[in-house]
Formats: sequence, C-alpha cells, structure tokens
Amino acid sequence: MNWILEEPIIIQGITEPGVANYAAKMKAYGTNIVAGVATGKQETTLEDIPLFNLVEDITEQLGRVETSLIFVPPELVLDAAREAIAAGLHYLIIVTAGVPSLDMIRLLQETPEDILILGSGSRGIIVPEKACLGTLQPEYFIPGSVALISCSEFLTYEVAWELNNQGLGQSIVFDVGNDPILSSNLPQWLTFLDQDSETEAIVLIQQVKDIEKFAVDLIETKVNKPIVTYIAGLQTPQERILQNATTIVASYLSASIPAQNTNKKIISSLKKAGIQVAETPAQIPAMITCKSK
Amino acid sequence: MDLLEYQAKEIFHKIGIPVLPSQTIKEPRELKQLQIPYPVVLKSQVRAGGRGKAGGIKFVGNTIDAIAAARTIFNLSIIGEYPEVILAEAQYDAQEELFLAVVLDYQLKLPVLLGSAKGGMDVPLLLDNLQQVVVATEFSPFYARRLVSKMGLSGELIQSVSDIIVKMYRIFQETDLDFVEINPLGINAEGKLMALDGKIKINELAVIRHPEIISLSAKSDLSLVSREQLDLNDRSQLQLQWLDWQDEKGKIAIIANNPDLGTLCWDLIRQNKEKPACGVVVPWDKEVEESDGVENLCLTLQQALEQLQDVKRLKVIMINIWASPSVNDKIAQKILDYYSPYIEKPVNHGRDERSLVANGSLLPSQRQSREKSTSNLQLSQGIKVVIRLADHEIDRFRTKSDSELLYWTNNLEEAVTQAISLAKSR
Repeated sequence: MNWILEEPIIIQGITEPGVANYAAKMKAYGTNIVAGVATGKQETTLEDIPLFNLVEDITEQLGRVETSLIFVPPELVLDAAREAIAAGLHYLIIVTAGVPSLDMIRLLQETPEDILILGSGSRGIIVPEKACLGTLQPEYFIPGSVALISCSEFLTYEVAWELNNQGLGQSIVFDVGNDPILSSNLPQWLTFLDQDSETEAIVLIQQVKDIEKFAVDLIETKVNKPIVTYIAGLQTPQERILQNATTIVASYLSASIPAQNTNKKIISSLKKAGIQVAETPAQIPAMITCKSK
Repeated sequence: MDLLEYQAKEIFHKIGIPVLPSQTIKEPRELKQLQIPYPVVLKSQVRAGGRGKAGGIKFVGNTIDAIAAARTIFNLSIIGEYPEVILAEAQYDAQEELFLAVVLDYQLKLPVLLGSAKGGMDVPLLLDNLQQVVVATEFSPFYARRLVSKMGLSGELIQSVSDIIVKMYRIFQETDLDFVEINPLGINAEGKLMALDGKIKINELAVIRHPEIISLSAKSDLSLVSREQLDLNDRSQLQLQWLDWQDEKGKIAIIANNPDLGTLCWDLIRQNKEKPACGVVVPWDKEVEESDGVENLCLTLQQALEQLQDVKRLKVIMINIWASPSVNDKIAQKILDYYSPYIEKPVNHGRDERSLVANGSLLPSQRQSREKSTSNLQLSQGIKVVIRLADHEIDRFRTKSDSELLYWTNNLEEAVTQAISLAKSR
C-alpha cells in the first residue's frame, strides 16, 4: 500500500489535453505527485508540479520514485512504460486507453515479475480521503472496509453509491481497465486484497462480454474474505468477445457456428465456488453485511 | 479491420509469399481487357466466410462465360454483403491444401501459430487436424518448424512451409494484426507452394499507425478516420451513440451518459419483466465538463429527447446521468426548458403528490386528477420522463416541476420501478 499512499508518484504525459486538471485534482486530494515528464517544454512547472524531460532526470534529482501514472498517447505507451522501468520504477498505472494489443503483449513479455502494471485503460486507484491516482472521481467514495475491483468507471460509481447509502465505505478502489489486453490479472489483485488489513470484503464489477476468463480466475484464486460480484449486461443480447485462438479461427472459417449462451452455467459455477452474485448494484450491501457476520 | 482477399494478397506478394497472377474487376465489362489467360477463377471480394459454398466463386473458360458469371457474382449477397470488386485469378492445380494462421490469443495474451494438414473448405476436417504452437518468447523460425512438424509434414515441405509461416509472422508483427490466415496454401505436383486465399485482420487499436493499410482500403472502409478528425468531432459536436440492441415492442427508452450505464438500465428493466425499446448514450467527458462544453452536452441531451419522440409505442424515457452537482443544475434546466410548454404552472400540492406507495407506483387517486391536463400534449405524445441524477439534493428539481410529466429521483431502483409502472399504465 505504501506505493499508493506514501511513495513519490510521477505523471508521464502530463501535458496531454486535460491531464493537468487531473494532476491538480490528485494533488489537492493529498496524493504525493512529485513531478511530471514532458519532453522539450519551456515551462518548468505545471500546476506547481515540476516538469522534467526524462524519467531518469527525476530519479537523479529528486531521488527514488516507485510509481508512475502514464497518460501519453496510445502508440507511445510501450515506450513510456519501458522508460519508467529502466529508471527503476516498480508500479505503473497506464491510464491511456486503446493501446495497440501487440504493444501490450510486448510490454508483458519483457516486464520483470517484480513490476506491477495496471491497465491499459485503467482509471486508476482511489483510497478514499487518502489518495487518488488516476481519473476516477473521488467525491463518489467514502472511507470504509469494502474493496472494489472494477472494469467500468460508471458502474463503480453506481456500486459505491449503493454501498455509501448503507454506510459501507471503501478501503480501496481499483479500476483494472477495459482494453483487450490487460497487464495485471485478477488473481494478483485478489491476493493483494486478501492480505490487506483495511479490507474486510471484496466487490468485483465485471461486464458480461469478458465473463468467461473472469470466472475461471475468480474460482481458481483462493481468497478467505467474502466476495460479491456484479456482472453487467446479463440481460442484453451482447456478443461474447472471442478470446482463444482456435475459437477465433473456427468462427472465421464457418459463419454458422452458433453462439452458445453459457452465462447461466458460468454464474452457477461461481455460486458453487462460494462467490455471491448480485443481480443489481442495490443488492450488494445486504450481501456484504450478511456474509461478514 | 478486415482486409479483402485481394488486399491481403497484395501484402503477401510484397513480402514474398507466392500468389497467383490476378486482376481486380469493378464491373463485368472490364473482363474484356483481362490480362490473365483463361481458364480463370472469379472470386467475390466479401469479408464473410463460406463464400465458396454460397456461390461466390466461379470457374470460367472464356470471356462470354466470364461476363455472365461476373454479373451473377455482383448480384449475389453473401451474408448481407455485396461485392464491390471481383478478383479474377489464374487457376492452380493443387494436389494438397494446407491451412496456416497466426492469431493473437487474448486468453493467453500471446501470439499463436496454427496449422492444419487438411486445409480447404471442409471445416470440420480442418479443425480436427488443427495444430497449435504458442509463441511464448521473442519469435524465432524454430517456432514455425515446430508447427510444421506437428502438422505431420515431411521432406522439403518442412523448410518451404516454415518459410511461409516466418513471413506471415513478419506481417503479423509489422502491421499489428489480430489475425493472418492462408487457406488454402496449395501444393502442386512439383511441391510448389501457392497462397490461394488469404485473410488479414488488423488490430483496431493499431490501425491508426498504419496509413499504408488505410490507403489500401480507403474506399471499402468508411469507418476509418484519422485521430485528428476524431478529436475534432469529439470537441465540437458530440455524437449520439445508440446502444446495439432494440426492441420494437419496448415502451421505455434509456438515455445515459455512458454505455455501461445504459447496459445497467437495460438489465434492470428486463429483470422487472419489461422490455426496453432502445437506448442512447449522450457522450460525456469529464474534461468537457470542466471546460465550457457543458452547454454542448445539454444540446446533445436535447437532441436525444427530440429523436426519441419519434419512437413508436414509446411511453417513458428513463434518463440516468452521472455528473457533478453544478452540471446537474444545467441538465435539469435543459430538461425543464424542453418540457416547459407542456408543464402546468406549479400548484401547491407539495411533494406528497409524488410520494410512493410501498411497491413504488404512484398513488392512483392522484394520478387520475392529472390525467386530463397531460393528455393534451401533442409534441411529446404523452411520453413521460423519469430522471435519475446521482445528486444528494434531488429535491431542488422536484419543486421546480410540479407535474406528472417529469419524475425526479436519485435512486436508480426507484427510477426503474417508476418507469415500469408508467409504461404499464393505460
């Protein structure tokens, strides 16, 4: 948790449109933003945040940095992440969405195991009233002991709204991102939260199009704390995104392979594994209070 | 983005994968100037699979037959798609047909090589013989040889087929593909290889950095616009974005400021055994919210309301918008302005008027007392509006619009219950 709450944090791509506003907001919320990277700019500060040409200039002049928020354009994300890793940073939050898939795959392949990446397309992390890293709106969250892991900004707000109405605040909120290739995986975050002393229960917010892999990860990871999931889109005729190479090829070759609706099966397997499945955000608070008693 | 066969073959040719001499035909007359000697194959250039079985491929021996066949192909839709171009290609006497592909596996988050010794149109047979090699590290040609060996090929074919796979992988990597496929790769009596059909799919997120590909298919894919253009559109005029699903029998339309919120509302309405008609997303951007873009957003909202007035059978519009309290004021004002001609002057009923009974529906006696005035509405055709704003002081909007037409709440479930009870009334 130190890397979120205490260690210095930098922003790569701070001069991209709108980012200065977010930076100012994060700082005002108490987040330890110490510097921004903006190559070749005349200005030396932005929103009172000192600007540097390179990540390594920051670590040389200001000392060790652990965390970077990456806002650079999609095609520059791979390079920005490499630069941060080369300068010795360990935690990267890629806020930029729409990063080319092969770039993310290259990044995953070459990233050492002790480096944690969130995203791409992550809206960041919030520890209510302590720190805000990214673009989530902190005013929708209050402190408490429920952790949220989500892939959708607005569904996160809906769930937090219901929890807040029942006096259930949040210990930490993660947005894992919505891009097709995501770096960090669910098991990592679940294990992290299972050990986090501030967290008593975990709520997962997921979309139906990615439900298959989500369910597998969730069932395979051993977590002692109660988990409630909410899956959006179960009532919509959405097409499942094909994930696996053989399935992709098979569907290409024959247009007539019927799309199987396996949602019910997946949900019952989640329930069998002891995971509560809420049908609406409003059901979540009651499920948490029941389980933690 | 899917490329057509002839576009894929141009790329194959550039990198040195053998393809047959061919020519693209935009109308049957052009066959009179055909440079390739007969007999030739005419192939419909559509993206859909199963083209051969649908009649989109014809073998012809002379110009007269070719023109007749081309007319048929131009008029044949394959899964709803008519070809703009036909590819005329030399024939090839393949003794054997292989299937080869490089695919991005989103589950493994790695590229995968796929191959089948039984390529061609017999899909079940092809899939039964499908072999896979995961490219787990930096690509090196041994991965290709490993696949070829798993496919059961022997002799000189091991090297020659591997060479093709290496080239496919280069295209895959250099042009940011999701998918490149050769099916079939024909092998003739002399053991010579020929890519007889090909598919290329470019990763949507990477299209932007491959202008050479954009120019290749500029005519056939209008959805491609440069990032600058997209940015301009984002800033000046916000586009309404409709949800992918519709139901003609639905009576409730959804307006939300994000597709996920639209999905959530759709779910909730369906769970309560009612059918949503359609959903529209008013694109919302926090950055816009902070600058002077709020007025633009409100105009887009008005546009959404106007367009929904034309939806048949519609009885209720349910709005779910998340914004800061100051923006909520502006949204509310926009809605009130839009409906002001149809709202009666405030009466001193107080808020008891809209108090809910246990099941969330309006008290019936109070409903009837207002029936008369609202039924006179012409422009809005009696479509009522349920507005859910995530605002702790939602009451300030309620008192401004003392009417049965507009219902304000900050509770999503209450909004859904209200929308459904209005949809069922009368």
